[in-house]
Amino acid sequence: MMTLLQQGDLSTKLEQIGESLTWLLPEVTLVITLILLICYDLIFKKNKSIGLATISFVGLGFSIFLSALQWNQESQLNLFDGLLHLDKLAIILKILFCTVLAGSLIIAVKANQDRDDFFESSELNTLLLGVLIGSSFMVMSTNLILIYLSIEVVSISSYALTAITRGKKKAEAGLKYLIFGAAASAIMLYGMSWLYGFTGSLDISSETFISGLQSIDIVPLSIAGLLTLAGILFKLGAFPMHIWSPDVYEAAPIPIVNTFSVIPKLAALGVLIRLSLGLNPSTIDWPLWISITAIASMTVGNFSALWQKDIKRMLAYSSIAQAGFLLVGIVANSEAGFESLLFYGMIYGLMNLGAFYLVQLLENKTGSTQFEAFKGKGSEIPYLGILTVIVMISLTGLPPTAGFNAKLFIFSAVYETYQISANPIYMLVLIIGLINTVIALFYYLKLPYFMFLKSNSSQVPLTKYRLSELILGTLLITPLLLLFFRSDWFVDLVNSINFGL
Amino acid sequence: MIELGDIISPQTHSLQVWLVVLLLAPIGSFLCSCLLKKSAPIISSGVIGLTTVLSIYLAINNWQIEPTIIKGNWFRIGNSQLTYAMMIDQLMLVMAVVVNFISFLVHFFSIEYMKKDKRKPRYFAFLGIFTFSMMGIVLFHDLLLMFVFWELVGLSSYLLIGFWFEKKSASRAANKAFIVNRIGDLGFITGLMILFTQFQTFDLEAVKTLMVVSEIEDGNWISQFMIQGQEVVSSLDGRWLSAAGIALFCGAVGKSAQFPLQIWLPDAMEGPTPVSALIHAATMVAAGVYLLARIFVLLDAQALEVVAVVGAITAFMAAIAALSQFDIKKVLAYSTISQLGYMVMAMGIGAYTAGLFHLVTHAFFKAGLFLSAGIIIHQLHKLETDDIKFDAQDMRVMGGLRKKLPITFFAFLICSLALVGLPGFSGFISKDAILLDLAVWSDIKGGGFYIPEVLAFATVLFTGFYTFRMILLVFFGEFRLPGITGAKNLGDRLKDGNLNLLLPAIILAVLSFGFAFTGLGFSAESSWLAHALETPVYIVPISYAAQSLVDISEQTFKDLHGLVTVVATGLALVGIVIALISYRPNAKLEQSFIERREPVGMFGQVSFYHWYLDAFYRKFILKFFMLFSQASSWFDRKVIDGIVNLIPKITVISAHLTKWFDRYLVDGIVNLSANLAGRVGQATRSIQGGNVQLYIALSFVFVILLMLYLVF
Repeated sequence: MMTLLQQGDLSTKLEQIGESLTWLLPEVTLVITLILLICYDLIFKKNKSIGLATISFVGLGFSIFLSALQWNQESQLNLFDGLLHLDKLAIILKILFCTVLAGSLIIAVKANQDRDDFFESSELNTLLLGVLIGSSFMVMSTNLILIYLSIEVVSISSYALTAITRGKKKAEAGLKYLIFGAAASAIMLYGMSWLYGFTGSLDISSETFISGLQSIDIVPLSIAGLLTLAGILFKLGAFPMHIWSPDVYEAAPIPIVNTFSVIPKLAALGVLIRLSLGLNPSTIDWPLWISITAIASMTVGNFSALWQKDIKRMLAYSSIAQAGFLLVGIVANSEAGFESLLFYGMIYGLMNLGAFYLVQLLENKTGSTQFEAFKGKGSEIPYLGILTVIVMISLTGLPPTAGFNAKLFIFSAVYETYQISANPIYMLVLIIGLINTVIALFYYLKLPYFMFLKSNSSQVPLTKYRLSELILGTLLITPLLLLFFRSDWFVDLVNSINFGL
Repeated sequence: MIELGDIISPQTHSLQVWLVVLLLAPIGSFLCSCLLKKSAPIISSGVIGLTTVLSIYLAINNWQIEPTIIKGNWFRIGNSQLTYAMMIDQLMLVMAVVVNFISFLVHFFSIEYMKKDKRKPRYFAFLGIFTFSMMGIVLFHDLLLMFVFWELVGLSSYLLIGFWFEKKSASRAANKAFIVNRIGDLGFITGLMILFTQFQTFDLEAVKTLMVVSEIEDGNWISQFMIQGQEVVSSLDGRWLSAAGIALFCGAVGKSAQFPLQIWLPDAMEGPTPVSALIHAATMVAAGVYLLARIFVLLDAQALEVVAVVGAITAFMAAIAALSQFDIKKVLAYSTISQLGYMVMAMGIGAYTAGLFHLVTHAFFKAGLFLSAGIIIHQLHKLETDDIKFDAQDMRVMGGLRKKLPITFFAFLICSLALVGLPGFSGFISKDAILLDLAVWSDIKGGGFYIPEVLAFATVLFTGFYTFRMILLVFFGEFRLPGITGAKNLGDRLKDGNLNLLLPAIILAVLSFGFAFTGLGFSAESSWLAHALETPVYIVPISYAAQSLVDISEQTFKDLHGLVTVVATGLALVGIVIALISYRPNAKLEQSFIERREPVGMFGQVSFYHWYLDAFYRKFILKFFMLFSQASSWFDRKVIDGIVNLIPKITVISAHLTKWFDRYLVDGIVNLSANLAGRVGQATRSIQGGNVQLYIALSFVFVILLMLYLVF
């Protein structure tokens, strides 16, 4: 022990930490934003909304800027003695997270009922930043402990976020979420402890860890791996750890749901990509595992979404299905697979943002998120109706929207892998995925169907929409159309990531 | 070997800014008209006036320019890089001037003509869109973009024909024009696809470069080139080469109203008269000829023969139809079709220069005729009151207008003389050039190819006749309207139009004189325009290429020239004399003209009903089509819908199955585990009936099941 703490050694360590900290500037910015929010809340008593909103948006913007600066730097960096791993994969995801959170806050600005919750006090904003910081670390960490810690940061912030807004239903959902999450995290920690026990290493990218795994018997390895996977699937909201999501989504306000449905999910996928890179397919049948969860998530999510009467609940179940589609990229287990997964993730973030924004506007107008409430309203609000149709078509994955490209890329990646390995499981994933895309049509187009094809039963006219709402909606939706034609903008970004396969 | 990437790589030129201005200014006019309702006529006329000045300036400054191309990347699909290209050459400069200039005159004319119309801003906005689309065709040197603007021209033509859409006949005419044009465009897009299949690019210059090196081997059309360093060999049956040319020509058949799709143009006269002058005389219908000029070198011998024969047939048929019309605009419409037939035929026989020359001269004199007719119609309309209603386009109500509208009369007369093709007028020079080339071509080809020559010369005779019949009936004799309506002093109120109306007509009449194009010279060779538009050499593989007129010795032309000029002028004069004899004031036909209804006799009816083409379409093609669509509707309803309905049914059934599975099996397991969990956790009675424990239990069950499945 004494040798480790020798003067010279310590100073090099400190130096290294100092150097690493400069690479963490985006996260540091977020933490400072968080602290500023709390301080501002404490100092000022009235009319805090503008200040809080400004701090949040400026902080997020600055963090995006700092992350973007790192894009052209060295491609692979090991920070804090191998605890964190900063590469383009992490940077692209972090920028996406900040963007999505900023989008959620924009939705919050537009939310009639919940706006005060977001901008009258700092709690919701700080917690949302907590989710963001945790997720940022999730996609950077290569150390089991740090993975666990960052997942917990995300989870705990999420529990609080679910419960903090007023209402009995929300408290109940928050508590459920907490209990379920605690169980999931316990399972994962258990699995991780097994892995550490087998290999003697916590660093999943290190040689000792990877070679250690190969020498283990299949049964204990499978058990340990599956338990760890369960914790990640919990964050991803995929089968079989998906059960919490509909309740939480239904209870939470729309901006928070938008955050939940994108940021932790993609962060979990980031962790999965890192895990997949470390695993050798010869020891365990990793693609088979993921295939099963992917197929089950798609199918369960889709069939449950079919019967929903509430738009938010429908979107919640559909997000389970989307998680399944995202997992298909991991199934492919190739460079193309991960790239198409990231592309899908980015498009998914955009689509969800657009969809939830529109649902928020629609909720503002009718005060309800039931399908029934929108019967025949399409003719009253034609422009919003058209935007809704575009988003829903994109979510289904039909041309001419970017959702189509995303699905196309991810399925082609799986097909490529199938052609190389000829393992029938890939074909199965492909076929079931395509069938599920068709099923998704039925519930995604339910809202347009109600809006345009059913006759209007209520005589109460909707409030007129404001021009700013429409412009913002158009700005959010146009990228979906644009990226269908120019998907190379994102594809080029994704292509520049080196996965080291 | 040629690398495709090299020949479509971006190129810039200092003129490109001006070209973009030229293209976008009409869109500015469109937007201004939409926004500034009140001052739309003035503003849009001003904008188009400025672009006219710009285009003339560009033409003069760059007249000696070597053909230059501006290219850029548009977008990628897979491995295909799609590009855009603009061509700066004399043809483009001439067309830009013609389009803008006539568009400007029509704008100017319309300020007065549409003064009373309450939808004025919309009218000028449509004119702006039309000018924009037309400039797109003229500027772009890329088949795909040309096709895009081609369609836009179709759209704006549709909007303008149906401008008075409350009139049932106008909206029907608009529909007819639009649909008939679509049929032609089907051919255009087919041609596009054939060329793209072979050459992997839409860029015309690149297509031409690759066409030069393509070869015919064993009846197969083979072209070899490189894409990104990889060698590509495209091979198609040789007949596709002819097919590509004929298919592209189909586009021109639609737009330029050629046989058998010419039926839309006479109906299109339902639009406002200035629109007829702009679209259906000078520009849009000339787009087909312009397209033929652009793809001229890609046409092989067979395609060219088709083009020539179709053109000759059209010219003849329309000239016959123009003989017996009552509506002044119908006469002009048929004469337009007939002249377009000349231009297309010229392209087909290889008389590139002559055809384009005729395009330009025709654009001016025919626009002049339409605008003059517009003045007559406009001034006659002013006589209408609540009691007195009549059709202001019907020649039966006119007559003797020479004294009432003297300036209009002279403008009309000069443009007519150009149309007939009498020496000294612009039409003579260009028509003479076409007929001379035609005579040489027929001599080379021999046999059945004398028929186009006969048709073309017969058309000259009929042109003289119908033109002077029109002039005599409109401007000479007695004013017939007072006799019809019974209001004796109606004629006193009739007077010539104001400056807005007259000035464009006068300018166009002046440009119908021959000296505008040849100076003091007498024939096409001495024209500056003909020198700018040199006939290019065919570049299709040699075994498919037609014999170019360029290769024929000057002497052959010189020998025939005198004869052709004399015969053509003689025939035109004969036509004029016959018209004078039969329709001179107080002649029998002129006297009875006022009571004339539809003609009797075989020839008369064939002429009046335009060879019964409309009836043929209605009776046979439409009927067959209706039967076919009824059949396919039945198939769609019974078979396709049946299958489509089956799919949701199956989905619903499977969903019900899933639901059943969910309710009994899954819920069964859930209930089982709920019982278990419930017993264990009796003490901690939880929120919502123990659901959360259930959730966890369920997840665990699945995780364990998965584990069991994976491990064992």
